[in-house]
Amino acid sequence: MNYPHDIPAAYDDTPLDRISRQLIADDLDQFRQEINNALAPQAEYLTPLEHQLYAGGKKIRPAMMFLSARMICGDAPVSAKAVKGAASLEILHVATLIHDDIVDDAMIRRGLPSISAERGYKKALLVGDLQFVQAIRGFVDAIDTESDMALVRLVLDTAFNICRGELDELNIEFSDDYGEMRNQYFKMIDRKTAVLFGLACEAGVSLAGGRTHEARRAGFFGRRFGHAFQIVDDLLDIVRNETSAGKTPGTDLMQHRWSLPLIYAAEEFGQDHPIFRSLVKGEPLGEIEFRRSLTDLKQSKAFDRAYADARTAALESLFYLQHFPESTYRDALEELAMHIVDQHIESSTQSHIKIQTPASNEMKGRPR
Amino acid sequence: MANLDDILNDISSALKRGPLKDKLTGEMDLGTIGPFPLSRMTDLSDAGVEAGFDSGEIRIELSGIASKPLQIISVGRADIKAGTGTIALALGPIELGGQYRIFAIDQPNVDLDTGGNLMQTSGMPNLGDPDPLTVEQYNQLKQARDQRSKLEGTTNGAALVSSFNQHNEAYNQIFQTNSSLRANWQGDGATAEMATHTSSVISPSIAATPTEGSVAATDGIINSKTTTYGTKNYTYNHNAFQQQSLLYVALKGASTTDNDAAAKAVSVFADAITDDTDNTQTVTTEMTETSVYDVIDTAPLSKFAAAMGADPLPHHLAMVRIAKKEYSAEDLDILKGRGYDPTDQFIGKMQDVYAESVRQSKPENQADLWLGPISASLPASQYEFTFRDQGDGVVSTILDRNDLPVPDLQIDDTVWSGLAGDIARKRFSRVHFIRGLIAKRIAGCIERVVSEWVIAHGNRSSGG
Repeated sequence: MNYPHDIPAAYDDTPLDRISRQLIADDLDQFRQEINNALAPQAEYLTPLEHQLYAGGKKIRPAMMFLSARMICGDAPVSAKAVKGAASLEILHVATLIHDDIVDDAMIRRGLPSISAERGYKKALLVGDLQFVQAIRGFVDAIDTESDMALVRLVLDTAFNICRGELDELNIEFSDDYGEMRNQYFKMIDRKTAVLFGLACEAGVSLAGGRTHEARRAGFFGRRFGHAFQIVDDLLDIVRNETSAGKTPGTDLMQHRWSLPLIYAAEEFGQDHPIFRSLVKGEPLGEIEFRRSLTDLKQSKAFDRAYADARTAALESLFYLQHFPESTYRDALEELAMHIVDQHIESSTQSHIKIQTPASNEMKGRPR
Repeated sequence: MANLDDILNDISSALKRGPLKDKLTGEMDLGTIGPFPLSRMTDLSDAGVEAGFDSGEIRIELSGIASKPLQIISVGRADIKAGTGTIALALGPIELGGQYRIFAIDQPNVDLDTGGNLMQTSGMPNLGDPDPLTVEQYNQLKQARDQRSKLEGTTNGAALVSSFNQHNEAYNQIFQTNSSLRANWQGDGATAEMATHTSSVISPSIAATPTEGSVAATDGIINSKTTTYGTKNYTYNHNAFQQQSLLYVALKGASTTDNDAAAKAVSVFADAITDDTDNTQTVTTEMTETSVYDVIDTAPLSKFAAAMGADPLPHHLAMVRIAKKEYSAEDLDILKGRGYDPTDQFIGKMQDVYAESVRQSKPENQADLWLGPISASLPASQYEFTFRDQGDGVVSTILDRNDLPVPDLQIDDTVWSGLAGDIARKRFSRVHFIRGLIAKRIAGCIERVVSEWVIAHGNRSSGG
């Protein structure tokens, strides 16, 4: 058989785009309105850039929250508190983006200047703090029963873990016990990335009136999803093309960040390789070594091992969905999880070939 | 020392006729790709292959993958600008070939809601729209939430809930991976019966109309001395302490920092029950909801924190030695001294559970399901290389752009049968990432061939 035999969706219409449009469009409209409401009290401190930051992005976390809620409430309108919860979740996510960009000295975010690049570190730090606090306030506002109080604890634990994860990332130290390095990495991404997806799903089920064990199970789905999401993000950092908007390949290597493929690569290539020397000994890489390192990474078993780990996390996530009642919303969450690891990677840069082959060359006709 | 213009001319010539052309049109080895998992806990009974186990993780591996461009169609170069030169290379169609292997790793099906309430999942509804709650279900839900709120309303209770949440991942994972632990938990139904019994005696509202408001305790006995559960007629305490011990040794058998901490929490909790309520596996001091909460409210929190940081107690060490089959009669006496009942059956369970945890870290039991050739034909493609003078005769090579498409993979999947075959077919049809990776690796091989030639040529030119 010829694979793929299912016709792939157009690259620019991902499952998330389709699901957002077909299943939860009304929910997302309410969510956008709620974001505007939530930002109103801090309007005097925000610039158009912060509003653009909120307007951008795929909104995958709110989408997962709504889909999780709808596994419980079906096609009935989602509750106002679920909408408030989704807005708070996105605000919490934006807070982490602003702080991430400060920590990483990032100049660009979603194709625009980062808040720290535009407004300076001091203001960016405070604007980020403002978002953190606003997110917590929003969740507290969403609580209207005593039993929802546990959610406040969950939100606070999540925010606490995100901050710990950011610090963990800076604190990962090399050890020749690569199993321990891997454990450190998974703990770091669980806190930095996965708990927010876990919160999205657990809070979605909980705010829709689901039972505690269902909410907990959905939280596990979200966290496994988050693991896959982060590992694939690490892999895309290696294979993305130079021309990808706003992103440069090899950023993790350049910034000496221990991503999962880099941990495996240090183990595979050994201490004489530029990757090891750069990450462990802090030696700067010249252009040739950097390019060679990226090529080596793409061809490596380290890449395959990390990708296998991402697939394992995505497949594990499905276990936690299987005992929710069958529905289009559950299917949508499953599709999103598998899309994380099955997504297209840019193989070519077809539109950018610019050199015309001279007629004097030994031409046999231009290809295609 | 050659300048960049000379080097570009040399590269162009070598691409048109010479060793570089020969290398580029020779076979390029992509080696082994994967293995990558396609599905988990998949039933293998109708796969048409004797795997030696009932269900497993299905993985695919592509090996001996090689690609071969058929010809160099054209080579073109642009003028040097700002120390950077560019060469465009057009290659003819590329043939890709190799072997695929789909195999299974032994992975028993998990029939326990490890991420939720640890109850058996086989009876759970998973079809159709969600049903509205019955009055009884509503009351059970309300009861669980009331109990959680009540627990979180006290300092010690909140600490208990927080401790569970902290180790939730470790407990979930050990129940996911240890089939012996799962089997003992589900056992003969004793654990589920105990949960139902606890629910029935701690709240008056089970059979009543749902009402809001606080829950008054009925003060029914939770852990009766005489009532027994399951077909083996365990008392409440007997089964509770047995399950605690099995969870403890399972976590110790899969020792990691997180699992050791989770095991510690299990043992500290069991010790607190013994020390503060005079309950052991063999001695039952009957308790009601009120007396349980009295203990929770009054127990000194500092004692838990100190116990979490303390060295393992003799009965913890004895339990592990017994589980590892490295014990003496003295270890059995130590357990008896703490109120445990180390019968041969109980010891056997601890050893089985521990062995299963250890087995998880050993090489996996696997079986090939299906093997065969894999191939792909890629159309002609273009590559744009940038060469930059780095000084001292060193020239960097960057494959800036290419239009190599993602390959469609040809596999004869007619022998993939049963549920495992269906899942493999469905999942493999969507592995766009892997197909993209293959294209990246072909382009990477082409870049490496050119880059290595340039480095070697530079060395020769500079007399190196």
